[in-house]
Amino acid sequence: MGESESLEAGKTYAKPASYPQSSKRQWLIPVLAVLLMVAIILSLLIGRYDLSAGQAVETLIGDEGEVALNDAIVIKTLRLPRALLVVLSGMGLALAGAAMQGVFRNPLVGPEILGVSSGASFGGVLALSLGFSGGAGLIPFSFTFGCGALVLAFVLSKLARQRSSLGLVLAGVVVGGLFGALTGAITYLADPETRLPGLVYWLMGSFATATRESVVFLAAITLITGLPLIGLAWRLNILSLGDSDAAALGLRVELLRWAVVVLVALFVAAQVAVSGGVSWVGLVIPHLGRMLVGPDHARLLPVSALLGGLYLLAMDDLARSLTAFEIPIGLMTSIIGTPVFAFFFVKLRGRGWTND
Amino acid sequence: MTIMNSKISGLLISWPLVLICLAALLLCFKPPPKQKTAIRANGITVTDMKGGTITLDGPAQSVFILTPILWHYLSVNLDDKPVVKIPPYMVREFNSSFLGSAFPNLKKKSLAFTDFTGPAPISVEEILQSSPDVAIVWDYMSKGLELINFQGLVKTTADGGDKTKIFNTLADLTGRKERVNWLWARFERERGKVIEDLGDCRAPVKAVVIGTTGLTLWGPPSQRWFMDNMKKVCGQNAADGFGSANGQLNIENLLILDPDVIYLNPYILDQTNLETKTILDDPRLRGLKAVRDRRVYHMPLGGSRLEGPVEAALAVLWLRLTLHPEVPSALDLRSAVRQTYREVYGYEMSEDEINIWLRLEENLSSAYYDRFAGKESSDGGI
Repeated sequence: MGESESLEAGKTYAKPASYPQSSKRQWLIPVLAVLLMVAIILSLLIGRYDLSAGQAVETLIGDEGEVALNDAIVIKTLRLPRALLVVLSGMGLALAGAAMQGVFRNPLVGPEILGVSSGASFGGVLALSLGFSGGAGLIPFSFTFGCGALVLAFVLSKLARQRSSLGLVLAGVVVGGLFGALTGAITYLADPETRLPGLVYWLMGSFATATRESVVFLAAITLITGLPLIGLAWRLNILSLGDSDAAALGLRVELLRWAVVVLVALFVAAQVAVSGGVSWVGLVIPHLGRMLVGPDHARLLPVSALLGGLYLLAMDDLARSLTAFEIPIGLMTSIIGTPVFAFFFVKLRGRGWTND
Repeated sequence: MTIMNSKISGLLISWPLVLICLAALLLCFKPPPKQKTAIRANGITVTDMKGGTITLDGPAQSVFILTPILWHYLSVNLDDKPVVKIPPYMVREFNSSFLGSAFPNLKKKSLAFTDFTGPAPISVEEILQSSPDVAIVWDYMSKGLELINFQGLVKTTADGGDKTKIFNTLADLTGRKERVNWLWARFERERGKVIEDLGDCRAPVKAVVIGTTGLTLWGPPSQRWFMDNMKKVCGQNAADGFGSANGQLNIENLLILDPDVIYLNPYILDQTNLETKTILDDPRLRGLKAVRDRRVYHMPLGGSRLEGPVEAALAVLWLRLTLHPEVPSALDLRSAVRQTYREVYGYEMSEDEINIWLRLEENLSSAYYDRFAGKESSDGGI
């Protein structure tokens, strides 16, 4: 019997009867992983540029000299890095969202709550308004300001002597509000002909300019942040008992909370830096994961990550294929994400979502 | 023990995440293919507005246009065959202006690359699908094409009214430098006539240009071409020094500015409700001098938004006549419009088309505009 299961015997832990027994869905992770691989391959076949499946495969595995240059560019330079970047972003955001909901024991929390997204967005907008349009300028600016936002939230919560999760959330809201306002000010003052459109499109999010450099950057960050988060799953299960019970069981609650927050913040700052804002993935997907495997974070975190990758990949395939224009990915995830969230809101009524 | 098991299983269960990350790292190890830079011994060099250069074998045979310069391209090249695709908003303007009649073959082509409106970034794949020699795009939209080292990338940026750069680029693209020089010489000559016709400027007339239904003003540096031309004919943008051109105008501020004349943005197409009567009938604005005097005019759209060497000269004449209706003029706007399109495009405008050019029907409720009404149109109306 694993620890998370042994905890179920405690009187404060009432596992919702309607959640599926996670042990009965052991197959889910391999199945989702295979589905994700298939989805990535299918994404290479989808797009505005006409390319048959055979041509696409030939282009993917053939030597550069043997295939048409434009075909090779479409598959290898445009679609493949983009699909990988999208999957990494989706996996990371959903994983971060599930971890945050666990650590704050609140279903309304997403990775954006710390103000890191706003900070990173401000950094990106600042870089663009200063004329740094390439990844070399934009990514460092955005990442630095994202991390800076977290530091600011940390300082604020310490100054307020708030040790509870509510204090941290409030500090995050304040910092997010500040950076949101600063972003608004730069946007408002931007030259409407030379700067404004670029700022607006970047803020709405897009993977259109995915490069191998941005993929390598995000893959490294995803590994650095994702693996420790999954490794903390059993501690998150204990934390779901409540701060005092978790502390009584020997868990260093505040340290755990900050560890999760820092890991999530690092990922979110990196994700915003490479693609701009992508909302709702970190909020909605963990709910879907919880419906499938229950609240045990040991399964919820990897399942959420895989679902996040699948979901965002599907959204991006639509965003780049539906019209000749690139539909901003942030727009797609919001338009699709809000009704999905509403569905879960209705579907999950009456169910406990944590172990409380 | 159970905790240790849980830790190990947690890490083992994360294999898909590790796999995807490692795959991403490995697949991106090899540089992706890009378009090769062509070396042409006898090619022509095209310099874009950002100073970038491309080389072509000769004048561009297929051009994908993503910025509002179709009309300028046509005024230089006259041959519409190279135009492959343009944005939908440009199709609407093209079809609703006389250019649609002047270039009937182009009107028949399926030009819009999408049914959606707006100047959003286009899919790079969409451009590759058309395989154009050249894609003319906004600087902020060019990242995707730069990513693949697209060899026909011509970047444009806001010009603040200085159209010489884009016309130099068009001269390179079409191989028609002499034509461009002739267009500019013609512009200088025609504008000179208007300035001479007005005579000395004693007191500049205060005007504002309202850009949107939200009462956004045109101010510096936005639309400097228009403001510069306004100064040439003794007009003054009352919004000079008002702040960001991107800002919304507070009604109180408009009352403080109290312009003599209000102009409405010429680009406004039928998707907005900003018309002269919107301003004239707004009870909040009835105290304005321009409204009391009914000197509110919707600027002509023309064929090229009154920009560039062809139509800017007509804009100067239109401004001179609406800013200073009391100063007698020897120039006739209708004749000038007809003469311009005859000389530049070899197109004979009908009376109806000139009425549309002038937005006569909408502007007739404003003061002094009936002076532009010409003969009755063929259907008996204006």
